Amino acid sequence: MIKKLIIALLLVSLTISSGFASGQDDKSSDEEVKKLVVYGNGGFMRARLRSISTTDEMKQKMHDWILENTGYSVEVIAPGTTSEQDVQKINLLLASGSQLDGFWGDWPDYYAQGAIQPLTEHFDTVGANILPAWPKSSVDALTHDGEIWGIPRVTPMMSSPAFFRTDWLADLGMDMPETIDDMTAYFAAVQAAKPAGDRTIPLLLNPKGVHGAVPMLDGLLGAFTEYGYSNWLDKDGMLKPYILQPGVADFVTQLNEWFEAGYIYPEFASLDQNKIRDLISSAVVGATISTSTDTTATDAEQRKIDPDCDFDLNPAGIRGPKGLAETATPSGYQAQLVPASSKYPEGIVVVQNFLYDNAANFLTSLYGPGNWEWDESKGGEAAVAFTGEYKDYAGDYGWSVSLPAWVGIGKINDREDQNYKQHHYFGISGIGRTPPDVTNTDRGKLPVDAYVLYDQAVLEEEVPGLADLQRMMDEEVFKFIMGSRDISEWDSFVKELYSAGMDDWIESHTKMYKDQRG
Amino acid sequence: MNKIKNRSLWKKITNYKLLYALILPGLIYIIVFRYIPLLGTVVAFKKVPTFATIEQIIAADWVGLYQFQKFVSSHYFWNILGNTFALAGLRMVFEFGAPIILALLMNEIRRVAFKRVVQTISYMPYFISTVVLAGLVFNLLSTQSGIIPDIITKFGGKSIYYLGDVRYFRTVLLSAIIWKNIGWGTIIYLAALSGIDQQLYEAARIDGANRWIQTLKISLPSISFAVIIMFLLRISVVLNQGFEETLLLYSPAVYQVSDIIDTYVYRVGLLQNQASFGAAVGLFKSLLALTLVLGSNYVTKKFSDHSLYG
Repeated sequence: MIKKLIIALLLVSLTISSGFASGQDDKSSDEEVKKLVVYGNGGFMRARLRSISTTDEMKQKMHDWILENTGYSVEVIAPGTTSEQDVQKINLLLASGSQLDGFWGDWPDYYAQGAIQPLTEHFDTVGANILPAWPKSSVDALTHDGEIWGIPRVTPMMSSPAFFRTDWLADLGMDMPETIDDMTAYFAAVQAAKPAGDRTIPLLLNPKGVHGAVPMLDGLLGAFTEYGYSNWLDKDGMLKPYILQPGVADFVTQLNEWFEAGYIYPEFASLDQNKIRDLISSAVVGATISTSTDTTATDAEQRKIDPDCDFDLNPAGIRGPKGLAETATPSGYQAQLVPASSKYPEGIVVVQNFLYDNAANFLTSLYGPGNWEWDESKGGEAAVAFTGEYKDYAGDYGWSVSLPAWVGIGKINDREDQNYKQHHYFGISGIGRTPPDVTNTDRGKLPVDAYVLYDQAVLEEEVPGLADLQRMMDEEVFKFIMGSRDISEWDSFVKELYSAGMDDWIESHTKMYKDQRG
Repeated sequence: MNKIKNRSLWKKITNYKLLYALILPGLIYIIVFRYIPLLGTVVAFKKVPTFATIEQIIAADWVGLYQFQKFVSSHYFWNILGNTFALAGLRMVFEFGAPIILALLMNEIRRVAFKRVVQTISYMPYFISTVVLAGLVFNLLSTQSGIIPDIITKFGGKSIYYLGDVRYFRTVLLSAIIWKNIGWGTIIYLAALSGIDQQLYEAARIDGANRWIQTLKISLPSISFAVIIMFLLRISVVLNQGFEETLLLYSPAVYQVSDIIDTYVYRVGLLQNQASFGAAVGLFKSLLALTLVLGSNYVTKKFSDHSLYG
């Protein structure tokens, strides 16, 4: 009996010690090759994963290519289907102390928690290619206390324009909408004509964007309010949130009318990016107000369903009672960040620097080796020829996906490849749109407090009702739009905001705003 | 007296070493995954950054019950608490009751082959992941091509998006949960029913009892022990259940009826990085659950012969 017991205990201890031993093995191999773990939530990979996954062979090829050229062995964690899932997973990885050396996020959220480290010195020592590719505002947005806290992700842009089906407009004998009233007329005509049968959706409205944008508000609110989707300075000198602007009730009333009329897709409150792209790809949508790439990057898929499908925007913008409808997304705080716990903080900069080094590296990181080549018939490195449909690579290392990098590839890519429309609207297809549509911030309003940094740790301390206010604004706006709360109760809603702690919000934000703007 | 008890326990352990050794994996699991994490609840009483190291947590200032007060005085406290108890209550009534009814119904099936088919079919949804379940619900109720809105429209009704409507959300959520779990939940009751002495039914029939009376007077009382134990075990976890289903199906439009403590903790603690606050709210819920289980155990012990501790 005792022998059996000893054997059982030995087995248990062997299992435990083998677990520790395997951990030690990892450690010793880490010492030989510097290993980086990167969460692939830059946006590009998630979009590609909808239809492609990277084969093991390609994964190894790309890994070896990066290792040979940078000295870093990089493991890429595939993103989830929504950005919310990614935030959850990243936060859990950070909190659990697991190895994580890079991810994309809003730097103030992590800076306030002491969870990231600055990259300033690494840009100087190993990242000379990166910052010169960006406009000053993109770098400034990541700079605080003399340090740069991440690798830039976005330039100022019009992230959420209204796109309309030009083929449907032509069929209906209508011009590109210029005003909110024109939009209403177009939606009514689409609903009556049902060009895609019973599945026709006059307007696909996205209430949850990416990179800090909220398409429903960024794309439309400016038509009804002076400052668009922005905090604003009231006459009393206090900075207040967008929801308190005069005109927001009119905006909500307009959306409610569209919702009640059946123009807005009824499930819009529950949509995630995957579902949005599925719907747009199925060519049943008459107009979109979503992240612009939801519409542009699915162009090829739309045309597979309906060869005539073509979305376009009004380059002069849509206007309403208070002027231009769109609000620009400032450079913002999105960046590739390096956790404070990373042992090789310079590693991400080294790898990115390699990708920024030349167009060939960038193209390979996006499409994979063997999926593209220089088009010799057009002068070699002056044009790109794509050799397939990229079925073996989901863009695991497509980290430099950002406007400056696209501009780089745009100069050499004049072909109608699957990203043609994306290039086109980002003004980089070489067809002469100047300035490009998506980066033309003259088409909308710039937020009043663009580039003001609100310290989340301070807000948490000074605004105990922060989470309640966030829920109230999200929830009640939906209720008004969907008609479960009557617009006559708008004033009561504003009072509820104050009872949930709006005064604290205003006081805290105003203080930080004035400290930084003087 | 205690010494005698201890000695007797030690004697048992030495006499049945191998049998007691079998407890080890479970014991290690409970200690590692249930007791050691309890140390983490210290952040609920301190002001610590979300991604703090152990050294930072130890060095952080104590804030007493500040995080609890913040939650209790928050605007949505009663709404969230009400939703949590409403969902738990509905689950206790419908999700807990449904398998008992189904088991009693299955017990009436006389053809063994048919009974097995019914059992197997009813077990199947249990093995579907919650994510897939949510996908099925979204597709069934989709206004684009969902079967249910299609049927309603075909019969002249007006289809709406049920998951976005506060009037229907709980019904949809509960129906999906019941559909998934009902079959699996019958196993214990079917086992208990199969152990009933058939002579009892025979005697009842001779006395003129119909099937309904037999169910009420023989079947139900015979499985009451299983029902009570399952009820008590269920009470202890009922506040922990429903998170995944709710998170996957809810949206801001229906927060009013769907935002429960767990989804609130998820949003505030994980997405908004307020770890201390999230931990305090989570601990608050655990204390509620403990109160519930102790209270229920006391009540059942008082009014029946059964309780969790014999």
